[in-house]
Amino acid sequence: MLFSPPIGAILVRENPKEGLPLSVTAEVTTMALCTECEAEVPLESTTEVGEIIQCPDCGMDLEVVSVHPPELAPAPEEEEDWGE
Amino acid sequence: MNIGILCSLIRKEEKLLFDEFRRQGLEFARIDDRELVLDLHRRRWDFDVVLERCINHSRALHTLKYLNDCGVRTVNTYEVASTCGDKLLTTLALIRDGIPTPKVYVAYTPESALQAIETLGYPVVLKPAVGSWGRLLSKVNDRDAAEALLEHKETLGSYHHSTYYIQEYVEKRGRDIRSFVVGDETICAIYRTSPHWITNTARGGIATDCPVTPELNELSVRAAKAVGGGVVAIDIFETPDGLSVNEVNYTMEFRNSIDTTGVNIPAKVVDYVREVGRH
Repeated sequence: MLFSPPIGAILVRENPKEGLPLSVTAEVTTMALCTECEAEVPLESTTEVGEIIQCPDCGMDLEVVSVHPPELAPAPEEEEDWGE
Repeated sequence: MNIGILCSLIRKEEKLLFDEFRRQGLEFARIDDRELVLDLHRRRWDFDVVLERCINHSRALHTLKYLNDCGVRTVNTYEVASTCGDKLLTTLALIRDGIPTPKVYVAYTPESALQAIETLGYPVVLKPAVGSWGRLLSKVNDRDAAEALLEHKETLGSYHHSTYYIQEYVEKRGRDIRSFVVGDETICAIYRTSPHWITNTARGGIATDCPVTPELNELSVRAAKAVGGGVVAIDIFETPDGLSVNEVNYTMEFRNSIDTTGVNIPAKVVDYVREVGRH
């Protein structure tokens, strides 16, 4: 490996040839289940792990924890030191 | 080049940055700060550069300190995160470098804070020293409001709220300026317009293009250098006496400013990361 990952870190080695430019209109490629109301939530082809999306049925904020297979979790609550 | 991106939740900005890295054919490793276990005794890392995009200030601060101590170059550095993440330290850096900034008093007890507020004169703005997105800012218009607010902060606030950062209220006439600095250049700027006295776009402020005049460029770059340089966003008031720097942000959000300004901000950031990684 060219780099040494920290213990437990989620590392996603990106291959630029496989990367999808965000400027391309994203298509829904898969569906995930809302953890609150179990409605089907569409995931676009450009969805990233860690992204926050909203359930179209109940409005719950959800974090994408996996794209393949599609998996959602309740989004974390905003913390005091969040920001830019 | 071994590039790391330190992040957790992925905002629009991170998606745009990931896309730009891919467009430039650059591989990168995502480092999720929620999964990190840092062995502080381990000192060798093979990253050429790490781009910090944490949503949590405390995680950014501590990880950057660790990486910088290990000799890893980061965008931004620990110094920048430390200074920008604390409004008191930011103001001190701006004053040290002779950069126009609103008058600020700092006090540590409700009694001394009230004294500082009355000395500064109403209205004043109370801000948490650490915080973002315009949260928990208070415009205090009179003594009754000051006493109530200080009592609430003392009773309900965490220890962070026991440092009272009291800023002169600047009449913004409905807008302020946010400029974006990358390295030695102000790459673009926006006006943030709102009928509310808080103009953050996170709070509904509307972004429109702001021309980067020589005066705005010079002030923005000086402010960036005062906090240590790198990739920062400067919040600026327009006052009768000229431009005045309010705050500097070190993990800048820019989703509303790309189409508005016509500047490819992610590309400028990625170019800068490459430059830092090469040295």
